[in-house]
Amino acid sequence: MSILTTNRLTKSYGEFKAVTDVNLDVQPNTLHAVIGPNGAGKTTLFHCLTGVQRLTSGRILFDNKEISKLGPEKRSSLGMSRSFQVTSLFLEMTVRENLQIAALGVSSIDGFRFWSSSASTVKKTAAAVDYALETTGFENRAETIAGDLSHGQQRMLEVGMALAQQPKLILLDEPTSGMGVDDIPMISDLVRRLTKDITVLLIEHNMGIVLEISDKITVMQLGQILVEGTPNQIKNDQRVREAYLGGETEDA
Amino acid sequence: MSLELKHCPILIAIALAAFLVLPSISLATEVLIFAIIALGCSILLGYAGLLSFGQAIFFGLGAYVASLSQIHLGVNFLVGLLIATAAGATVAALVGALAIRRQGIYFVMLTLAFTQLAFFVSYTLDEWTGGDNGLLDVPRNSVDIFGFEIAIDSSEKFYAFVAISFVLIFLGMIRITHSQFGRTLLAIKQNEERATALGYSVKWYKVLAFIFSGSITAYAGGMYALFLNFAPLSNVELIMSEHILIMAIIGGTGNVYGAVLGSLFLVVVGDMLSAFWERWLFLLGGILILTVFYMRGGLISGLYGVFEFLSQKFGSASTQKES
Amino acid sequence: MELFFFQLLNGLGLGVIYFLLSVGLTITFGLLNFVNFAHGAFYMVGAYVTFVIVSLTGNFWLALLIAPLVIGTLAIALEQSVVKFSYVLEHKYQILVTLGVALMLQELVIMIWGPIGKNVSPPSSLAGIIEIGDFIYPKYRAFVIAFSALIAIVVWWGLEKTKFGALVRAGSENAQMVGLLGVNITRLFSITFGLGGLLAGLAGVLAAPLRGADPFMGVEALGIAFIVVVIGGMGSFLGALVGGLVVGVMQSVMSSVWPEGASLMVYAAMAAVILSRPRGLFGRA
Repeated sequence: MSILTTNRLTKSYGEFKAVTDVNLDVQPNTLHAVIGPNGAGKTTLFHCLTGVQRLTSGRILFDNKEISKLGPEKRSSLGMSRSFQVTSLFLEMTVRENLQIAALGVSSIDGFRFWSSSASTVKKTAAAVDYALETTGFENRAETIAGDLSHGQQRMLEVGMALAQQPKLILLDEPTSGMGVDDIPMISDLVRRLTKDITVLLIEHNMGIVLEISDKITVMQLGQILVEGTPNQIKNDQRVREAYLGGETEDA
Repeated sequence: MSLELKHCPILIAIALAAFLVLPSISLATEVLIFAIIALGCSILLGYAGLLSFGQAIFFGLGAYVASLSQIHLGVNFLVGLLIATAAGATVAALVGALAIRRQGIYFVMLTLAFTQLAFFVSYTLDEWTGGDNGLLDVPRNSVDIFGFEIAIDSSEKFYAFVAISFVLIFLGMIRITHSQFGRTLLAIKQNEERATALGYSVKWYKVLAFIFSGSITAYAGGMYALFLNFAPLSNVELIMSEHILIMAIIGGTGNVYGAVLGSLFLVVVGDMLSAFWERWLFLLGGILILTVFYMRGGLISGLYGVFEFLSQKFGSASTQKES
Repeated sequence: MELFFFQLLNGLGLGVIYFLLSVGLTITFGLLNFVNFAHGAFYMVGAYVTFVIVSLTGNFWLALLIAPLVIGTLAIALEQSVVKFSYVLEHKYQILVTLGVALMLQELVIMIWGPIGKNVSPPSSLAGIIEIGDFIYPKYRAFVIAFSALIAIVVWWGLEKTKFGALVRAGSENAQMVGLLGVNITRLFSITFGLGGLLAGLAGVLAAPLRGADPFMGVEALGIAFIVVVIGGMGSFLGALVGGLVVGVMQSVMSSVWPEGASLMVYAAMAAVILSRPRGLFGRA
């Protein structure tokens, strides 16, 4: 019973094929990572999965529903949430307000309630917001304005936004990007903990983290899947070594 | 409920003060009508982040529809204004839905093109709109409920009606801006991409903002025509859109009371200055530039700043006394 | 048939003026994504400077030489004193700042010359008509077509064949890149802004004998320039040329069939183009 599968997913820009015939298979409650050198097509794949870009051909099945043609705003209500590689928050709002907006996003009508006060509408998000605050460790900073948080904290809130939607699957786009070395364990611990409740699909270029925390790894190269397996299999795969040769050989 | 309890007295006080302080009733009437119009613009710009040159469409439409309903349908003025509001909402939904298909400068240009279209359509349909001459001799048909007649046939009565409309519309808009819808609009304004990813159908939020904006602007446009007994073609000119925008921005768009200040500033200062200096718009251009560079929040933020400063000074003085 | 040809030629004349008016707007947009709502004011002030020079000296040729330089200088002065501080702001604030500038220029003109328009007569050497067989055409209008075509070629040559032009073109493709190459992009922009103003001023000079000078021609011209730029595609020289001609001919031909409809149609065309093909005919993808 996979939660997310892609069937020959292809995305081309004119003649150029950014992603070709990718078949992904993500099992529930696992941490599945997609890695690959620059230009491997990770980001394009991510955009197709989140609905930001339309596929050229192929299909995406999420929770046994075909979602290939749904826009990005339709996917979150099905239980699929995402984070952004470049922090994307409501910077003038507090942490709690950010999470409230996130939590209400899965309902198709709550955001349109224009006659009852916002305070009464957000009441129903309390549980989801508390869960996100707790999981990301923001309990004591809930009233801080998002723009005033440190970069590392903003990265955490970035993941918290997706969590507040109480999704089945969470898509994380390089959650450690731009983070200091000291802050990285904070995120990797969080991501590891998440698989208790939900499924995580992680796009990442930091090989070290991926090998450490993933259940399954898909390595991409030139828009195609190069190899797939457990961290141990990937670590010892000759093709992966070649693909990364001279580049990021952090597994050494 | 507490929201209304807090704001209702302030709004009534504003309406009374305008009546008592301003030199003439007609000036006070105009201030309140344009406060509603500036508020319509502020909903779009301050909450949805949409800079639209289309407000004159709704303003002019409201004026024409309300006037035509008085002349041809013979309905009472209240029904006339409601028809104008409905027309405003409909056209705003249409204009909004088309314009938001493009972003940034293309959105702005679309609203500009729509205003020009509305102008030339109004100009061409001169059998209905009076073309260049405008629609003259617009009556105010009285309301007749079970033989009890309500007429707004004096400037005092008309002012009372405008003041009631002002208070109710502002209360309604305060409620809307404090709702989850208002908060969602602010979120969309701050980060549209994130809002979309979170599941919000951004375009319908913007269309709804357009509908609120267009309805109250058309209602106010209708009142303005009844006030003047006249619906001029200049209502739908691009320059009208510009004036409405400037009013909203100088007053401040993040807060409903900014609209009151903007209207007060433009109508009253305009009235005073134009008496001895006809080209006071020159000053307005300069003030617009200065507002953008130095006081993005408009007069209302300046006013809050002064309050804060005074309360701090007063606060620190009182604590010093205590110690 | 003859009337149609006459209107077609008029449209061509109008079109080349529209081109001169719009080319600066489109190129400054291409360079810094900057939209100048004061652009129409350069055209208007150009017409007024022409009026002043012609009524002082009676020499239109002097105006043709000096007025564009005056407007170019004015444009650079405005850019240095006000406009350049808005580059870092969002689009909507740039629009508001330049809107303020346009309003100030318009009111300044009314303060000096009053709200009523002024007439400018064409130079005596270009008064009268040309006769080609049965066909007659005003000399001045023929001159406008020929002269503007020449300027269009000069602008094209400047953009295509000079180093400055290459930088402008590269900058409108990718301003950051050009900045990285060590070119002072803000300086490049100031000069382009000034030249764009100069050309709009020149359009004002050429238009003055045809339609006079009045304070509200700037707003009208801004609308026209937007239509041209949108139809042709933002940032495109060729787009401004083709867009200008299309709008000019359309207006001119329509004006003999359904005058009120002419403006209606061009604005409808503008909305339709933005909605269906936002990059216009020749805009960058």
